[in-house]
Order: sequence, then structure tokens, then C-alpha cells
Amino acid sequence: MSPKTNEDIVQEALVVIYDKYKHTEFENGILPYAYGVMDNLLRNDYKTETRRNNILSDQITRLLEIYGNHHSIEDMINYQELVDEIWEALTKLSNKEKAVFKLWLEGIPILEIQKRLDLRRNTVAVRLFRAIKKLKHILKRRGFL
Amino acid sequence: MESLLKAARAGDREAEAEFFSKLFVRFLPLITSELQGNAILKKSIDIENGSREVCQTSINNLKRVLPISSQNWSMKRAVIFLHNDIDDFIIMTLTDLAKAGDSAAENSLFMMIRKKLMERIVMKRRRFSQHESKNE
Repeated sequence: MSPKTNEDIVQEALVVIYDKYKHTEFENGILPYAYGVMDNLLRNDYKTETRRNNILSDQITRLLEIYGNHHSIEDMINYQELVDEIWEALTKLSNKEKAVFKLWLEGIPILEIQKRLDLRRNTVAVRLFRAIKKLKHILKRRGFL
Repeated sequence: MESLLKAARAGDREAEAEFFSKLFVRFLPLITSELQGNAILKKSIDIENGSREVCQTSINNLKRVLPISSQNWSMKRAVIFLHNDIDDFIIMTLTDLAKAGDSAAENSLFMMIRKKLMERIVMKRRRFSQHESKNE
């Protein structure tokens, strides 16, 4: 989930250029084409990274609302280590917990989640509780709760 | 050279022409040695003619893109400009050779493109982070 390095992006660009260059006539030479390919990859990487940070901010905001903590999101985002741990914890959730948690993060009410996943209300609540507990545990360990 | 440059920048057309012809003479050996430094080009093209071609093209481009009267004009920029034109020429030549099936030219071409892309991405990231810190 970590952002791509310069090496990664350049390597991806080279693969694209290598696939194309033999069959393409470059009006202004291959270099402007290569720059274009890499700029697009870079732009996409920024978009993905921004999206990732936004999702994470929303998630942390919701957790903080629930547990009544008043640290600012900006303060927390600076803790890259913490951010990575939270993402790691999210990947450790079971598929059942993830399905419920994902809908809940989108702001869907528990009653609606119950209908969509065809579950009992208690089951939804328990899975959600477990998912939040795992994340809460990490925030606590890092001293944020 | 300095006095010619001063006169050319003040609008003296003759001084400008003389300055660029001196620049040609000064740039030519630089280009020749750069092209000779590339083993693949050395055996594939006529370095002497190639160097003259690059030098003339580069000076013409320089006159067009960075006029001598411009406030941004400097010898340092002119040299950077020249180096970019040399790289463009080498890359163009290597592309033709690689397309014709020369695998050594292909390796050399992709090494050069890689170098250019790395320079660009570092510059772009630096600009982006400067922009970000300004916004903060």
C-alpha cells in the first residue's frame, strides 16, 4: 500500500515504452513520448496516494468520533508508522469483518448493512465491534486513545 | 567573447552573428567528444558530420527558444541547452539503430531514457513538494 518509488514509476514507464517503440513513429522523437508516459504514471500515483490518505483520514475521524479523542487528523497523518500499522490492521481483518466494516465506513447504517449482506442485526454489530476493536487496539498502543 | 556577448545583448546584430559563430567553434569539440564517448555511435555514424549537425541545430534552437536579448539568457543555460540537444541526437540515432535490430543500441537507448526519466521524476517530485509546502 506504500506509495511507488521513483524507481518503480520509471520502470513501469520503460515497460510501456519498450512495448510500443518498435511499432511507433514518434513525430518529435521517443523522449517526449517517454516523458508523457511517465508523467501520466506519476499523475495516477499522486491520485491514488491522495485517495488513500483521504480514506485513511475519514477512517481515523470516524474512530476518533466514536472514542471521543480530540487529536487533529493532521497530527496523526504525520505519524507514517501509525498510518502503516492501521492499514496493516485493516488487511488483517477477516473477510466477514471487512465486508461489514467497508460498508460502515461508507456511512451505511447498520440496518441497511444487515439487509445488504443478509445477516442478523447482532451479527453485523459483532463483526463491526471486532473490526473497530482491532483498530482501537492499535491506536491505543500508539498512545492516541 | 564577453565583449561580443555584451554588444550582442545590447542589440548589435553583427556582434550577435560573430558571437554565435564563436560559440559554434567552442561547442563543436564538446559535442564531438560526447559523441565519440558513445561506443555504439562511434562505429555507426560519421561523428564529424554528426557533431556539426548537432551543433548547428542546437545553436539554431537556442536562438529561437532563448533569444540573446532575453533576460534569462546565460552561458550556463546555453550549455545546458546544448547538452539536451546532444542527448536528443544520441537518443534519436540509437532509436533508429535499435529499430533496425541492433540490440546493443537498444540497451544503450533504454539506459539513456532511464537516466532522463530519473532526472525528470526527481525534478517533478521536488517541484511538487515545494508546491505542497507553499500551500501548507
